[in-house]
Amino acid sequence: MKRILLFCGLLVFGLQMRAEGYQVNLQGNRQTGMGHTGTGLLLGASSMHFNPGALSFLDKKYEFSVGGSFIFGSNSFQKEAPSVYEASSDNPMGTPFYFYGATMINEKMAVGLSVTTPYGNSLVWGDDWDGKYLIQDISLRAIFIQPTLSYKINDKLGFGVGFMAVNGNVDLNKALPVQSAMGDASVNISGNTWAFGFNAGLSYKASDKLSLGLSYRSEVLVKLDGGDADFDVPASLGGLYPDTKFDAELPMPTNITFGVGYQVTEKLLLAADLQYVGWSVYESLDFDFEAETVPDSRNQRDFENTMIYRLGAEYAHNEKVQFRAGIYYDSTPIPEDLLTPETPGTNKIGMSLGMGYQINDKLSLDASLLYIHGQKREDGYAPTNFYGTYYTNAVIPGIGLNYSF
Amino acid sequence: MMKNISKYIILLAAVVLWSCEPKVDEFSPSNGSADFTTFVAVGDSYTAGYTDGALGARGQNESFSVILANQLENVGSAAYNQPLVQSEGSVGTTVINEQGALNGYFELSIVGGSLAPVPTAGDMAIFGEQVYNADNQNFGVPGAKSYHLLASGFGNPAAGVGNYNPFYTRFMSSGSASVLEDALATDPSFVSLWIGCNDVLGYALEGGEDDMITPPADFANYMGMLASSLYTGDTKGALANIPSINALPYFNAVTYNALVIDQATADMLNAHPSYVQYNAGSEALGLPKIEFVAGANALVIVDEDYEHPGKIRQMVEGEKVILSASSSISNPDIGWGYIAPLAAKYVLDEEEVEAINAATLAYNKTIKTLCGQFDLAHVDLHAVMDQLDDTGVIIDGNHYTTTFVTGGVFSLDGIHASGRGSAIIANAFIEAINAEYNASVPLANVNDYDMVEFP
Repeated sequence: MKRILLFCGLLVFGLQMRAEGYQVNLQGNRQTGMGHTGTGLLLGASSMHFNPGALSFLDKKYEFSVGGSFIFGSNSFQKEAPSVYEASSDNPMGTPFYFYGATMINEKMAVGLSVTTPYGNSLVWGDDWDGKYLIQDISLRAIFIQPTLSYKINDKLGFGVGFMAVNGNVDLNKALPVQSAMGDASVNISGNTWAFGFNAGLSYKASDKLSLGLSYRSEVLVKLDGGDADFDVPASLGGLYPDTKFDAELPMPTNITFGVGYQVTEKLLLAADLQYVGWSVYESLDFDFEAETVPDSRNQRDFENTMIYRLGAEYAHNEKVQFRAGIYYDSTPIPEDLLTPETPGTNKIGMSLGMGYQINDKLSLDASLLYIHGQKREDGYAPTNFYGTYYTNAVIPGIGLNYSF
Repeated sequence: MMKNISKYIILLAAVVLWSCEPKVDEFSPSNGSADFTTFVAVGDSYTAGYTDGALGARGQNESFSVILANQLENVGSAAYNQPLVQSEGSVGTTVINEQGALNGYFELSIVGGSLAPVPTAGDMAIFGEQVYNADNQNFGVPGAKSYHLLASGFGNPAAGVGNYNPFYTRFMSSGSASVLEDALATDPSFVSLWIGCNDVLGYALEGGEDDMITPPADFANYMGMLASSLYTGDTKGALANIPSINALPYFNAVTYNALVIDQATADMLNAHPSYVQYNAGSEALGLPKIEFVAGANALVIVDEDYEHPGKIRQMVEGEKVILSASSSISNPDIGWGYIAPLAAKYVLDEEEVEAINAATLAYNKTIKTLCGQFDLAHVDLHAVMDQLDDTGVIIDGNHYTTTFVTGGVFSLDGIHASGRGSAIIANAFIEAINAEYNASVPLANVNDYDMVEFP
């Protein structure tokens, strides 16, 4: 126990894109074990992310849930034929985490606070790889801090809202096509900022067996004003490329999720989620540099809205042990000819297994294992003429603890 | 239970290690119907690896021929041996001081507040290196024209200074050898032949005032002899054509109207007695006056054929200034093009440009015909360079153009390719080879090579 907590304490804030775009759907190990379903379920404190409407159905007065995942992801690139060039990204282990704490303040009303990391991306292709003028490495993370209020309108219907304060951080490096004796010039772009949004959800217990949920998470537009752009260029060009500031925007898109839960037997629970992600807000990634001699950078993205289809099941083996399994299909928002190595998205199938263990009447443990298989994608980014075949997969074990009393 | 969890964690770790790296469908290179066992490159300075105005080991290791050879190693080529420069230095052909020293590599340096290519001192001992080796595969000789490859004794110092090519002397098999004979002695299975640039460039570099354009009929003759000697039996190869001088920064970096002055300078020049007198004459003869304005002005040049008795005039669009005049134009103490007219040897007038273009076109017809006749891959470098010149080409995130210094394709001499320009040329060879011989030779990664180095 102590050891596990220590391990969690050592986690670094490195995330890696594991859902499509730069979304990371790993906000609860019980849900992850079930294909990350849960919008239609009553899942206690973690409802704050999945559906704040369900939070008011807390079983006990207090509930805390904490956990994380370990992303072992791999991206490989094979250059467009004829070429024998291949590259693999050396990604740091991603460690998305979550914390939920909630309490019923009266019979009808629950309040809580959640801290989650639903967006992030961390890829290291290397300084000298063939796509160095597009990206060398990128680390993007967002921490969502969300106070939440949920109200049980009646025994069947719950409604909740949350306010999301988002801390966004970006750090990326790319090479620039001008050389000195030291090789290619480069630029480091970094910044940190706060942005805000909200979420809301409705949870409806249609019968003892059937529950439904609808949740909405607003877009959060992370506007970075005054980020740092540090140029490493030949001395003779230092006047043209001074270290300067930049402005940029990155949207974290709207999510609308509809979920259903069905208690087939006393032992078997089935769940399904349909998640709509409004990626079309991500039209362009533009950097406006303050120094006049540094040309602004416009990068077409034109993402498309996507759907994620999720199915999950939980089987109560006995009073203490549950087994879980799930599967989902996550389509890519990235259109043809706009695929970059910075976000090498593809359609993905996720398959999960999970287990829950009730340690005592207050403490339970959830473990999950998710394997994500990305379909190989032969595509590229037309504006920079960088084409090849991208291969993506990931294995993600996760563990979480729940404490309620 | 906690013990069990530890077991599960170990199990998970095993799964992670087992499945993390995605399986990649490997690309399979193929030689198609060509045999690349013994690849030999025959040609001029481009084949040799001349760059930044000189020959040295750095350029030799980034020539198009070595990049091509490296890619051919995927499809059966065993090695690529070159007559590498042994010295740390480099050597070119321009005399840079009164003692007769020759230049080495040009370097980009800050001169008078702006960046300009400046020659380093060459290492003339390189010409004394004896690096003949029967295994040599690079028969690129800087300065060679088509007929030079056929000439016995082309490297023989006994012919006297100016009558032999010292770059060939370094690796010729004997004083009486020809480049063609030496190349044939390797019994090549595949030969790249790119020759003919100097058949027009020799003339162009002299501003059309010296040397001569090889007559196209003669060129066809020489090329026919080269092709029929090299491409016999099962020996196949690739034959590249001649880029237009319009694509070379050496003839385009300085434009005809490169004189940019302010109003005060323009007034001063317009009031100068020699221009006042010249313009009076122009008026009498009904010829254009020379009048300077603030901004861009056409350069003033010497033209012995001009009707005006002053024998000078302003340049017109389409005429070219050669790069070596650049520093004397921008230096206000010398003032070429306005204080003193540009000498004819620094200018290609319309007639000269036309003669060069016509010869290039005729050469390229010959080359195309020979490709058909001998079933050779036709490498259309004329088209490749035109595209780089017109729109540029985006390769893996960088926009390559023929712009001097910053375009990425040409080195600081404005004629020869940078490492990346060489890779672009090598890839043009590969694409032509793949098309002709139904082969799958992998392309080189252009961005792995070097461009102009900024201080």
